[in-house]
Amino acid sequence: MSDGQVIPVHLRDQRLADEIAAAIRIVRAVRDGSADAETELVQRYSRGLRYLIIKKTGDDVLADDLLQETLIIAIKKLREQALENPQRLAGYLRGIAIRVALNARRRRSREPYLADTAVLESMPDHGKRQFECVSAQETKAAVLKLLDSMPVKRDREVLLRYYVREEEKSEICRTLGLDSLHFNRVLYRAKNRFRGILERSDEGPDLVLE
Amino acid sequence: MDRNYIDRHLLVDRYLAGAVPDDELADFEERLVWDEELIDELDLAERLREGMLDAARETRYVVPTQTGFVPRLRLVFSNAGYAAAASFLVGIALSVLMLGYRSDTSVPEEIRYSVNELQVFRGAGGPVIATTPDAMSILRFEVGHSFENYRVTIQAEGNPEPLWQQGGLVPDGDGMLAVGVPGASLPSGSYLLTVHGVNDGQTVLDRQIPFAAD
Repeated sequence: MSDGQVIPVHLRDQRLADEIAAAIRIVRAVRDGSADAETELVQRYSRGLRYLIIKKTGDDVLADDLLQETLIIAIKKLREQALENPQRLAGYLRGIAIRVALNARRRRSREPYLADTAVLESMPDHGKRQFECVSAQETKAAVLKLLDSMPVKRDREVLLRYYVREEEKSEICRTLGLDSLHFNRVLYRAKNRFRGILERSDEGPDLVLE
Repeated sequence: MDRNYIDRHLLVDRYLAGAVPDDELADFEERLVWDEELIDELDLAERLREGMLDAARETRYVVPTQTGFVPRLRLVFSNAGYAAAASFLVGIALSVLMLGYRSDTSVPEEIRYSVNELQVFRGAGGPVIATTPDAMSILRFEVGHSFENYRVTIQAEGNPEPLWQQGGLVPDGDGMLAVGVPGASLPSGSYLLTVHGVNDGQTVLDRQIPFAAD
């Protein structure tokens, strides 16, 4: 590849390339009447859509109903008409989910609507969060363990100022004399370490607050 | 949107902080619809953020000195059990200020906040509060005692994205709830404050209070 040539995004990101291929395949198959493709659509996108709906409504109880509504609308439309950009299926689903969330907020009272049994049955249980078994107390203990394990005081200060004080990255970098890459590395390493601590505590209760 | 871009621009943390601009938001959310790894990262970052806030309340790791009173107040108000007590303390502090009491040690110079009672009168529209970007706006409103705890969400008019949210809040003895919101989050405009009550893990809409910031 010659210098200066722009590498398309999907060639830099294999998972994105896989998503594009899957989206095109699912859209075509749903249009052709494949029930398997509908199931695949539900299973592939339910978790993300549910997460998005919770973010938009702030209501994790209502989220399952709205997710179902989103999927029903999407599947009905995909059965009837082809998507102009099938590779952007996730974006299409996002648009429907946001409209459904908005309407739910307007509706307020929760009128029942007809449930689609097929969609209900194929909806995976994506309600659980990662590290669901880790309590708030254990999370706090994990954070303290993380902070204890950080040898450089300045790195601890980066975390405290970024997450607690919610200072801008540029401001933290300026006052602590860090460059952007160094700042990102501190956060990246801290998250990896934090994940490791949580994974260990998810396996057994070894995190106890002192 | 590719992974490198998300990592380079700290979009996971900025998304959780509600600080992703609209032009990037659609692409980011499109990715999170299908990318389960990204959702895991969001979960992890959310836990880290929550854990950091909890840990920062401990004396063991003190937030850097330039934090000042307002962020500390936010810490206090972000805790479920402290919300009611904090509103009481703020009331006392205000009383002291109103009485003209002056003490260099008891009232730090950087205290900047305003307490606003959100009362809705039938047919009178929502209350209007005064906010300034560098001060904490403390909003007090009645909720009663029907639920174990409450979750409060504030949204700007016409924007479904929660602007501010806090759960696990408990009212004070008068059935009043108090929340502290940075004034910078409430520029002039119309807002909707939604209160959900929680009992046995079930969430129910309790009330909605429209208000305006001036």
